[in-house]
Amino acid sequence: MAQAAAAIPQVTRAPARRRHESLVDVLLLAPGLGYLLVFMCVPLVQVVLRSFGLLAIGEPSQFTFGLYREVLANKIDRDSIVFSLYFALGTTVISLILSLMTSALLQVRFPGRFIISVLYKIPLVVPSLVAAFLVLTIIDQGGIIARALQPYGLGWPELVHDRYGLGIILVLVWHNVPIMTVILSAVMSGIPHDITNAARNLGASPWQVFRNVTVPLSLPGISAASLLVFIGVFGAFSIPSLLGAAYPTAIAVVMSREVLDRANWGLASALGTIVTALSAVLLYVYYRLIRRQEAALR
Amino acid sequence: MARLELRDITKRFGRVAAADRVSVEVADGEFLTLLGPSGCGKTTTLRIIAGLVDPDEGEVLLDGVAVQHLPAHRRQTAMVFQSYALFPHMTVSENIGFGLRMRALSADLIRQRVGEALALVELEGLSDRYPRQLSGGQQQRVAVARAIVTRPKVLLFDEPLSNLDAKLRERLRLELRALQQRLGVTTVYVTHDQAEALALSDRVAVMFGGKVVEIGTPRQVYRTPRARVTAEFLGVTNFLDGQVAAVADGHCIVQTPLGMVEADAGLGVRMGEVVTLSFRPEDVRIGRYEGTAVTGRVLHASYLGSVTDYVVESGGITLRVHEAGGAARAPGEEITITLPATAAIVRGG
Amino acid sequence: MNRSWIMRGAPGRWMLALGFFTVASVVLIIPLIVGVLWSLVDPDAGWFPPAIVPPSLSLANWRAMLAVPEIGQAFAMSFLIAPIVTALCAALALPTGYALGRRQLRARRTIELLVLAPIILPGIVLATGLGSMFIRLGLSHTVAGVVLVQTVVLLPFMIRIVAATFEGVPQDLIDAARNLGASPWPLARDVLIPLVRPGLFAGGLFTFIGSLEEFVLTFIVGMPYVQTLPVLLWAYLGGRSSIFTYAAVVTMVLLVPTIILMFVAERTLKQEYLAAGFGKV
Repeated sequence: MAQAAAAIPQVTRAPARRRHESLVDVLLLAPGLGYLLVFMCVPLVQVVLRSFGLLAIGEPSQFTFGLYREVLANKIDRDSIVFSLYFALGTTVISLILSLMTSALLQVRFPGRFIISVLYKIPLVVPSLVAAFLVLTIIDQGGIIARALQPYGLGWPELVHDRYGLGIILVLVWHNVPIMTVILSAVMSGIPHDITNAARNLGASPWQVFRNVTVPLSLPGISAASLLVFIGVFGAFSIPSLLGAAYPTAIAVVMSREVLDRANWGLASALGTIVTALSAVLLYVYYRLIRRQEAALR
Repeated sequence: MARLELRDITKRFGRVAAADRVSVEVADGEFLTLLGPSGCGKTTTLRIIAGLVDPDEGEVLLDGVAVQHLPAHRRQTAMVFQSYALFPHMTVSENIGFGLRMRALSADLIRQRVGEALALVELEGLSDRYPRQLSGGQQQRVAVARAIVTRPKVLLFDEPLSNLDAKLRERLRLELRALQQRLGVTTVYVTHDQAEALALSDRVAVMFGGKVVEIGTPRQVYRTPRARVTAEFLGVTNFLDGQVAAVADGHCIVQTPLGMVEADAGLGVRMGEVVTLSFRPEDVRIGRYEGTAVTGRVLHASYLGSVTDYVVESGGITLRVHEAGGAARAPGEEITITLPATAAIVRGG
Repeated sequence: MNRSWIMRGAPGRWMLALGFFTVASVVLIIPLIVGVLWSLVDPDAGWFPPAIVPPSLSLANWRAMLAVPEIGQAFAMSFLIAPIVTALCAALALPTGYALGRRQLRARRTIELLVLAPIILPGIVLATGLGSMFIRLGLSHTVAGVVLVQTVVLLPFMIRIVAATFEGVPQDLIDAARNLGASPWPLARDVLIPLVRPGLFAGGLFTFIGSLEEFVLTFIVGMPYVQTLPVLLWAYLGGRSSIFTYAAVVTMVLLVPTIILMFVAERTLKQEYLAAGFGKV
């Protein structure tokens, strides 16, 4: 057939062109991805291997679960995992509630809305150490609130270095509410007004619209933001190291002590692998959820 | 100026053939429109001419020379995009002069030609504005000026009027046609708007499912379509099945349930063959005239301004009839209608 | 969302505005004012409870910035490292971001995941891995080592911003330029680069400030010889010994670029660049 004959030069030419295109892709991707492979993937693999006793520094290398047994046997390590889970969960839940309220209210027009929408993003770009300092000056025993209450004979509870990690959670919430609000506002303003208006028209009260339309439609954003915050906070170092009590401490603080004070890279690697594995599992669950949601909406 | 020819152009995206053995010839200075519904492959064909899409098979010939292997920037075609694609970081005159700068013309010559082009599209005085400071109609003119200033061999339009409101669209349609005739440049125009296609073109190529189903003058494709899809796509039409009763020198008589109708027999019609006739609502006249007249009953009447659109039932068959002026006829009224003197025989689906 | 939430009409809107501004001043503005006050405390008079404002103000702490060698050194170190990191990130991210933004890639999902990983992974884990690796390579406690680790966490942001920028250029503009006779080099010079310049500038600024602010990796890999401003701030905040007044000064120094970023982000950065940077998971 005529078109079969015409197709022959195409068949011989196409693979060569495709190969050339792939080569260009590889060359363009090489600098960025190569760097990440060498300086992220390699050390990460080393951490995992070292957590099983391989690639040990200053000790004989051999495969072992000993380091994990050590983590489980040691109350300090065990408690650090529990404590990190605790303040990460607390921060995520509190931040989520606050940012849901904030982003829903930001959808309403009110005087000075533009200024607020700029102001609330400030913590987004403030380094966490600066955040720690700013919040410290307010909530610490010598802070402004305590000073303001003192003349009235009112005491102010210990929020910094306390065993419930309230100071930690407070600063982390301060830092993470804007991150969540940015994501949730974007998702909420993406919901067509027609849909919420239709719900209003069908007799839903504002609260019912929020509950039954806005929140379900924002669910992908809500889960993404929660996950992002949880993982980020779970491995946080600077704020727990400054505002935490002597005991219990965050997992990142324990890791830094193992590395800096004892040069115990093996144990730090085992803790690091636990943190990474938990993050990976959460990410996987998240992707599955998103996939199912997308399938349901289709 | 140039003669353009497409030979068996085929382009597949995955398993879908966006263009399926498209063959078209465009004469020097001719205005050809590719008309069809969205997804019919007309834009893909246009982009293949411009070299923005590589065909899987087939040839693009400019003055008899195969150009399908030339990269887009050496094709000497100029395209007006649906989105206008004006460079937002350049002023009007920088936008118009872009193609000339790419051809390394002298600054003086560029200034002179840009000035001419601005005058041609009546945008003098706006040369230092940025695209975002212009109205939609002005942006469209800049896009046209940018295309013609390079004196391309072929001018290409991809739905250039679809983002404008109806009134402006009509005015610019006239301007475009006048401009093209003045410049005498070979033009390929893509649209899904049948009125636009009929008003602008020397010839119209009707595309469906990646294939060119019919090419002809606007009059031909509208009045005597050969394909059923063409008749359907180009406005409202009546279909009537019948059997060929007589054939004589290019004409034939078709026996329909409503009576005898004469039709063009250009497609090798045989005696006794069952065919479908197509004729326009405005070809049916209300009242008894020469030809086949039948009585019918008005089912619906809609007043459209220039005409009144009637749905008429006769012998179990419904017909659309347009009457200009005339008395208002109420639904239920019995009327006499005269079938057209000649109809078109259409084939396919 | 619904335009008249809970409170209808103008009075409700004013109430809402009042609420927002009260919360903003308590959680944002008052801490900033108190922070500034701390940096202006007169070291001779001090600022002890229950004083709401310091008894006397002075610029002594700001002068200390020049007088105390470690503050000046940290300042110099931060501003030495940031431009190098920015240049390195730009060089690495430009080709890769271009490929991600404008080319059809087969393993796109995997590549995007790889780029996202350093943003999501806790810094302390990366620090542990890189710390031990750099000890073997002799890069621990060196400026080069700190530059390399900061690049690991900042490069993904740069790649994502560059990719989003390139992706944002309408294909029609590229096609139009080619159609008008632009061969690849003029196409890049006259159309592509001018259109992506704001995005690239924003990416560079983001990276520069990110480098000034990076703490965990710098701390683990650079300690104790490479001391940047955040490392010093950590020390003043109680990591080593509490010196609130110096901490306030360093805080203010670190806040200035932050505020600049805010303004640039609001004015030139489109929301999607920000979203790209902060990682839609």
